[in-house]
Amino acid sequence: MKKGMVGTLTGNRKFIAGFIIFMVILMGGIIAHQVLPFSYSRTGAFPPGLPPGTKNILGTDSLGRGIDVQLAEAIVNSVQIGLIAAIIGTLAGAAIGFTSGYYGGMPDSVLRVLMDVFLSIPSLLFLILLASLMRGVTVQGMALIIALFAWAPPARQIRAQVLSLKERGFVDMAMLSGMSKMEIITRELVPHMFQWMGANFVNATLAAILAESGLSILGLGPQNEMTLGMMIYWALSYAAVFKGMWWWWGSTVFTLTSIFISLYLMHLGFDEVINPRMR
Amino acid sequence: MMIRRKISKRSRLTIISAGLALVFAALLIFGTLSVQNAYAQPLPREETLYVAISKRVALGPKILNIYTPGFDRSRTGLHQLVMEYFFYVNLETGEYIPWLATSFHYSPDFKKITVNLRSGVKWNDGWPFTADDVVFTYNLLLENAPKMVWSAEVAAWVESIEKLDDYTVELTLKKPNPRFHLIREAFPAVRIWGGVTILPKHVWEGKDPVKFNNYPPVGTGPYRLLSSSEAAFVYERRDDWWGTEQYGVKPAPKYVVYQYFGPETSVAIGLTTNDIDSPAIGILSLGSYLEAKKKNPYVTAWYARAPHAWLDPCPRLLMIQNAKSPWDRKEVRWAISYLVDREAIVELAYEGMTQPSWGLYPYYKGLDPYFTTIQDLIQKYPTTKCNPAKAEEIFKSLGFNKGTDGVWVMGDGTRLKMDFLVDSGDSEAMKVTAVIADQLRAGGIAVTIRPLTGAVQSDTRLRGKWDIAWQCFCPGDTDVYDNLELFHSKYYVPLGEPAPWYERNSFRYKNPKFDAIVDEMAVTPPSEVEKIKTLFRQAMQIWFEDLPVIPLTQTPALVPFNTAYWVGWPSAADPWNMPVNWWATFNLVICGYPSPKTGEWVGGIRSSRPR
Amino acid sequence: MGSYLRYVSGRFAIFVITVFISITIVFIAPRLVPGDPLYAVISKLAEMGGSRGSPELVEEYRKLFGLDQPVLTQYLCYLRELIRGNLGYSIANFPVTVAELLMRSLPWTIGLLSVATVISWLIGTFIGAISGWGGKESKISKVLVPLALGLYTIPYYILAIILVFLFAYVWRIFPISGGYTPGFPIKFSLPFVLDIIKHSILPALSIILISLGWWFLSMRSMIVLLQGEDYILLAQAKGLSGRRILWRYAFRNALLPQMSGLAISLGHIFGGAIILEKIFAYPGIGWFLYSAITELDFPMIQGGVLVCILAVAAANFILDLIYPLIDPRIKYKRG
Repeated sequence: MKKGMVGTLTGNRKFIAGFIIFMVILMGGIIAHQVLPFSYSRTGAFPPGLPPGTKNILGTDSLGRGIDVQLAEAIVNSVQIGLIAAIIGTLAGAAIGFTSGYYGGMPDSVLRVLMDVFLSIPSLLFLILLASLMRGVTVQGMALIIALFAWAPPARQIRAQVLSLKERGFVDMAMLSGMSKMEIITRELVPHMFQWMGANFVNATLAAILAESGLSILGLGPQNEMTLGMMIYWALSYAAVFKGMWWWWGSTVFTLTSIFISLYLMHLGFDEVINPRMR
Repeated sequence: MMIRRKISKRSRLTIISAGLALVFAALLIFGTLSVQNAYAQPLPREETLYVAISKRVALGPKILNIYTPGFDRSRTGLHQLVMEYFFYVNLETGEYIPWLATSFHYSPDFKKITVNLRSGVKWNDGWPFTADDVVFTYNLLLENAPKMVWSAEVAAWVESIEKLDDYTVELTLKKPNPRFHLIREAFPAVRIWGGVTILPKHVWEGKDPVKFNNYPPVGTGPYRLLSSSEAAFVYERRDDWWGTEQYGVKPAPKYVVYQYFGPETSVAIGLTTNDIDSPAIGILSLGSYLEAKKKNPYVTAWYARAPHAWLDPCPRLLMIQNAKSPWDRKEVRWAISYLVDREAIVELAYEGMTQPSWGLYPYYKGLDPYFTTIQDLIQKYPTTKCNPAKAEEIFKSLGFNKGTDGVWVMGDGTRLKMDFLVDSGDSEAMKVTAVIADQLRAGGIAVTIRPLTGAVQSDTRLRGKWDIAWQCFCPGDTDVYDNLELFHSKYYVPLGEPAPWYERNSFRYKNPKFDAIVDEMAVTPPSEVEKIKTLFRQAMQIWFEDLPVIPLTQTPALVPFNTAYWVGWPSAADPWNMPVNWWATFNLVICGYPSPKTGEWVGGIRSSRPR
Repeated sequence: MGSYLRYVSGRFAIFVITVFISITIVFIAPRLVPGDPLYAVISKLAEMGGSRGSPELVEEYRKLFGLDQPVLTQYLCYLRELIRGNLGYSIANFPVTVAELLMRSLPWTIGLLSVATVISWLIGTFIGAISGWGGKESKISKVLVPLALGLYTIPYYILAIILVFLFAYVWRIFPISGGYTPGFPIKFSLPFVLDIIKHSILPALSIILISLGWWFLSMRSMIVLLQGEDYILLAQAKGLSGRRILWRYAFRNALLPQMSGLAISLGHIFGGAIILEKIFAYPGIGWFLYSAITELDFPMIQGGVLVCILAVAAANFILDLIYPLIDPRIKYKRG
């Protein structure tokens, strides 16, 4: 079943398109990050406020740093945050969702309450609180605190899926055929869930990158490493939009939007695989 | 069965939609009704002065009690327009301007101070301002110390107050202090920004001074509050102000609005569209100002051309944690000073609007007599020079070696690393920190920037849990004593306990010789200039030698003005006052003031479109 | 019906427990942060150089707010007052009460966000339905889907700033910021209402544009999904017109998940829109909550977040109540 799913995915146009865009951006960032000299990202390395030119493909910002270098580092860091938070969130969420939906009863009620609590506390505000608790954040730190709120939506969705699968008779059939509960989970349910987890994972990555930029724009992002959100923060600090420094805020927004679009295309691809009627 | 389900779904939908519609209508009505009260029509533009403030006022707009800790007096416009003080200092001209008081003098032993009040002043509800109000206010502060803001400071100095007659009061101090009149937290004289003010006895008597909402606020100033909300405070001129009655002066704008317009871009736009006359400090960066100026020729600032900005009284310095190793060694501190490139900071973080600073004072003319005594010291101790080679020399001489990663390693094997604390809510701090951090990294120090904000930032800064932090040093203006006093070890608390405030020795400097000099200055009357100069020189000798904090730059105060509707603003071409709308002296900018020399009324803005 | 009642009481119990646990977390978490709420207050004074006398002031207020008590005592006090309906004084804005701050800012948030959300939902849902029914190859879809995608993914703050730049500056149609013109009469008069509306159009537009994409795309996928259902095929076989099938059958079935999405969204508006309020200077609750958090204003945090939690948990609860009534397929037995 897994093989079949992967096959359908790679055949899906939307998924491929999104995947390619995402990888292009990520690879571009990684390569540029390795190739371009680190000193280009030091403040004062270049004259401030230059539009794109021969030495700086994307120009410089108001602190004299090359934007191409920053963007490369930012892509790598932001995607890192997104992926780490999404992996933790999706795995934890799936595990909790499974348990809750499948076993029902007391564990379900308790986990359900936990899910609701984390869904109803305003996450941005708590992220702010946690960022202050940590006395300054690193990229990994940011990923961890975002992951704290990232598990709840997948958990909820997977629980709903498990519940509906239970109704559909898969489980009853399997039980009739004599499989143990564990076997049922691993052989019948999990393969179904992979598709949902895939969709959730992509969503969670998007949400995590969005959350990071939200925190960074308030000035609470990682200060010692550059992220896409922090680039926007600096652009806004120097009123780049009002001053018409399109190469600064424009390149960042374009990159961010492209990443989101690519992730969303992948999500759509997953959707179509899961629901063949969507094709 | 499908039909039944259809109907029930449809009716359910209708019910839900109808319900939602009703809820929204109710919310809309509720929303409009519950918002605060205001005036009859929108204000006529040519009669209104719009001031843009940098943050929304947090405290409830119907609670205007300056003695509650949360109250924001400068963003509400209250202490500029409604409240007044005994004296105002004009930093630009050096004048000490009598306002609600006409004069004061000390007893020969400096234990008593007598103040003569102006007669004929009325509170904005018609009651007369007399010595009773002054006596009442001081007693209120003494009784309620330390609950009321600054009452602790008043209680520390003032023993008692006595009314000599309707317009004369006498304060008895606990200890002789020839500088008492310079303590803004205890005496209502404005040097910078504002201080303790006098409250009307007939309004405040019998009220809980901390919970009283003081709405509408009763003051002696030329304006009264018309309406207030979180975003805007609207004031209207009053006809029975003492300036009008005694000098025939009417402030030009009939209405003044202190409003929050939004972040930098919105204020820049507002300035360009002539919706804003005077933005407060810290909102616009040079870039936005120049854009606005390009698009709107009415926009101007202190200097019509570069460097544009006015000189703010709080120079910026880099605090180093003297209590932590290896920053406790003055050689290391000097090395760091040599690694900092101040010109680069000026260019990148301040966009060229300011200049490097050699010490802890603003470059005000009033301080020149003191500066001349230490010119040779300034040459000898080059605090503005960037010399990475010298820094390297110093590190090597201390036995440090550069590791393979480029970071210095000390004799005992530890790397030279530092935590750089910065307030993430302060845009200027973030920019300067970014620049300095890179400079120090280039010099071989492993710097980690720690951005915090709000209460956590305060706590961390006060307890000294940092190695290096950028800081504004705020007391300094016309008197050298206040800045030196910050380094006194009486403010020294062990690491981990909160210092009295950020610049009050949160960097933990201790030097008994320095203390002795400062102590002596404390009891020297400001009039004995020669003696002060000698003490100043001695103190600075020690300070330069030790360099407990590292000087960075002077501070640009970019305060733009819009001359589309109002002209006569103070500027470099006509420096008749300070261009600050968040200080109490803004009162004088709007209305002008009686010159202490000639007794004539001078200054004040005028309408550019007289009718 | 009996089992439904049992279900309802079970869900209600979960609702109460959820709220209770949430407020406990919100009570404890800020107190773990190393910082003193009173310093934030003093900062405002010290900003201007008036920092003398601060340590004594801090001590005094610490006692006033009971911050010198052990956490458990504070917690019990808090619960006791909460039951009485007393949310306490805001530390940073003393002596304003938390209730008053909330009362003043909530109407703006609720008004703006709920209206904008609903408008966005209505437009997105209807257009999404039409586009979904038309299928993937229709001309409308080819244009709208990428457009919705673009709107959905652009960062909110950039869109908001561009809106202000274009419509308040380049073409001076709308005011730059604020909830209403300062100096306007607060009676329930037509000019005032119009003034409020004028000030709310840009902020509302920014929300509408951003969320439009999401409602459009989700409704569209719902409709597409339903196209293959049996009863739709039956209706087509019976010869009913395409439009009739869409609006009478497919739309209604797709509406349910869409409406639950709307309900959840509405529940979340109480969290306020911090960035929106920052950019448009809108006097809503988001800004208060943000400053309460950075200033560690405990009572304000507790009060504000309580409102958010109640709203979201209530929205969930109501949905849980309605769902079984509408979709009998869902069984609600416990265990």
